[in-house]
Amino acid sequence: MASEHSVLKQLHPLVRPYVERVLRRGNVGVCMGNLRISDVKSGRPTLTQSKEPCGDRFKIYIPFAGDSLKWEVIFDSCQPSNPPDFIFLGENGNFDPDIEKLENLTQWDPENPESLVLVLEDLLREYRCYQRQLIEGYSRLQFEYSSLQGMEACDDVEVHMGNRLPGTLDSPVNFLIRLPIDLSPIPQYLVKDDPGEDLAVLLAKFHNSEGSRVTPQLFLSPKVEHALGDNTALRIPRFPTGGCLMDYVPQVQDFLQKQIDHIVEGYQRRREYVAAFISRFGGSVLEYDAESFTKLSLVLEWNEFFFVLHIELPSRFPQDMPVFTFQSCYHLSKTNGEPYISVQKSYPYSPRWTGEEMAQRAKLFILDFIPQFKKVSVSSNKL
Amino acid sequence: MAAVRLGGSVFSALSFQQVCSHSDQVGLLFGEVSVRVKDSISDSQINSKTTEKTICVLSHLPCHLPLSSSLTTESINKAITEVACDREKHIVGWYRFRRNSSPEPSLWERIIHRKLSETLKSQENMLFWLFTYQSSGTVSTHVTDYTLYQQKDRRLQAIPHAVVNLGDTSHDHYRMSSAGALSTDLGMLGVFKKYRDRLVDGEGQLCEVSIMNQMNSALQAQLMGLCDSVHQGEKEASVLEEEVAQLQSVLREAMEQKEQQEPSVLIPEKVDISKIEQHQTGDVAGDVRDIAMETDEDNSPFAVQLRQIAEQTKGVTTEGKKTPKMDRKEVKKESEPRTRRKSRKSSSSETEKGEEGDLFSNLVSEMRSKVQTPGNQRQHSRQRGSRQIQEEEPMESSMSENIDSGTDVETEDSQKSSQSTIKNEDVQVVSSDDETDMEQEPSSSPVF
Repeated sequence: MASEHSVLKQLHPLVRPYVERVLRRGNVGVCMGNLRISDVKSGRPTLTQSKEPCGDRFKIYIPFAGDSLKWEVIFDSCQPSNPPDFIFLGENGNFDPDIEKLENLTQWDPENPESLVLVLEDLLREYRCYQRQLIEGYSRLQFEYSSLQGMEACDDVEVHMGNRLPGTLDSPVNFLIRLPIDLSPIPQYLVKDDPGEDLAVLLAKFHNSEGSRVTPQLFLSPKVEHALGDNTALRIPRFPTGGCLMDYVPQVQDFLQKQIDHIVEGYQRRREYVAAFISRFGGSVLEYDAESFTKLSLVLEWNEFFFVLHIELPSRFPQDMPVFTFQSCYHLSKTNGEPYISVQKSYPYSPRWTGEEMAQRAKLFILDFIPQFKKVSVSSNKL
Repeated sequence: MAAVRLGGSVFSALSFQQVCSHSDQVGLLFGEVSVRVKDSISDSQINSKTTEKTICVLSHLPCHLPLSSSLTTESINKAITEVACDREKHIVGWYRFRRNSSPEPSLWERIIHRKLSETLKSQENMLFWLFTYQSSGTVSTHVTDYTLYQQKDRRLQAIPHAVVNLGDTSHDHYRMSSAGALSTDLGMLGVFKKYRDRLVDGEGQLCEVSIMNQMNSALQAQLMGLCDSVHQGEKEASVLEEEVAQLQSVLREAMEQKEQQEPSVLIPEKVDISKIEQHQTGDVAGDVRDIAMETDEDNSPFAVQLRQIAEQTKGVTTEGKKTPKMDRKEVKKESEPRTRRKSRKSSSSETEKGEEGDLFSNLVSEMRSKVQTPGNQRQHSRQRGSRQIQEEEPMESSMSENIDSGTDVETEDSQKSSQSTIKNEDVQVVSSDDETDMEQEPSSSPVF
């Protein structure tokens, strides 16, 4: 954000609105990545640049199919009504879109701040067509792309042919596939910045046009990544030798779905468990984790003996049983001077019980255990 | 692909204009396209024609080309007409200048180039000259890049070009064709046309060059003439040499015959006086002694004279270049100019020998007169007229000298005098005087 602010500060006032909209709404492409702007320069003589911000040309980095496109956008601050000019760096002049298909460019509206965003969308659309034309010369790649287009398991595909490998006539090709998975049940992940839209994309990197070596990578949005763990923990299946994306993508999708289902189920069960305890011990609830439902603390009383009960639910709940921690309100431990606690990890439990059942059984266990806890707390500890 | 030449003045004017501009610039390039067919003949191929196309950029003009949706053929035509009214056929391309951007053609530039080529109907030759500018962060270094592009395979590709720099002295050969940097201003072209007739003839060649060629040809002809005359002179000289040799052999034979017939004749053996003087005089002396010895018994006055002659010749051979015994004062005249004296000094050795030789020659001539032979008569006549003969035919005088050994010294002297005659008239006069004196005073000769 600080870099975006500095970029906007260097721009000419007449050019600034367009760029501001690009930074705000410029999420384009399959991965919906943010566009990045840098290298703000001016077309005016050097001496006049220092007096006022007059930047009217800059470089824009667009994420596309695992790579980053580098385009140069040129305005003319002396003639701001003119549409911008574009230089497609790294394309060697091969990307030459038809001007007739760029309506937002030919009918440039200088009054509309969204104009630049619309022009970029048009250009990216033409760029995707251009990349598709590039792989038409390779039968294997063409087959992969056409097969993905017809799949339901494939929501959107971007293909990008990189620069030619040194010493060969081959070029690496990236396939970026957006997996159509419902990620809404995943628990909320509250962060300071906007985590963005939830999505999962699969990047298949073909090291050559024959597809003899393919490297898959799964990219997740921040919420999904937090829920499932980072990419290293999530081991996706290996790409089979001689296989094709048409078969591999559904495998990855099923695997991911299972993981998500597991995560969602655990979340649901935790929530149910905590809800059951709250309903049973409503007035005794001290605090609980309302986001992921992993902790619960209760203040209970038995024969005028008050104690605190902390319940921790593991990540693999309900397979793993919750941990009960009894804490005394009166006595301190002789060893560390803190309130005396007693951790209980084994008690009657079954993962097949419902939350209500678990709460009931937990209550019985507490009633059985608390006299012993009181005795130990009083005799061996100090006030 | 056509070769592109950019005028140095165009380049500098464009650069200056762009440095001073406030924003990006667009304009048109004017010039000419010339095609030259080169036909080269080699050992392997008699005809090898190559076509060379050259595009010369000679001037430029800023122009406002619309970079918007209104970029149509009509709008481009209108923009061109506003700027270049009747110079559309001289348009060879267009240029764009933009600061702080990459030196690659942009999207609009490609579109404009295509539209411009379609409008002007010159797809292949249309040029696009791109200028970019960058400066360092401290504004201490400013870099201007320029690249020339041309449409090829539906893409703008960079092409090689040459900026005509008149101050470039690296060329070590003459230009066979125009450098393509001429001005297209009508006034300048009119001046060139006006003076062209004076410098160039009807065939397109420089006048001075043809004049020099003619002079060279004339000099060559003159040289050939001189060679012919030298050759002719050498031929004549060789003919004359052969003739002289023949005559010498004839005389030699005649002398031999005469000796065989009349051995008592006191004629010393002839010696080739032209070669060795002393040898001649020595031989003569020897002969005379022999003759004197033969006639010694008689003690005739003739024999006495012979003995004296022999002694004299012996003295001549031994003394070499001593001063003559003859009293020079008798011969010397008061009115002789210094030059004569100088010439006399220079030829003193010659005159000394000549004086002694004169005595002997006189004696011999007297003796010969007693024995009159045709050859001797001829010899005498030759001696008398030695002056004339010497002037005209110095070879004949030497020949006569070879024939008569008795007069070898005299002939030698006459030869030398003849040489001096040729060189200096005064010497000739002196020698002639000497001869005259000698002839005039035969009786006063101290020897006899």
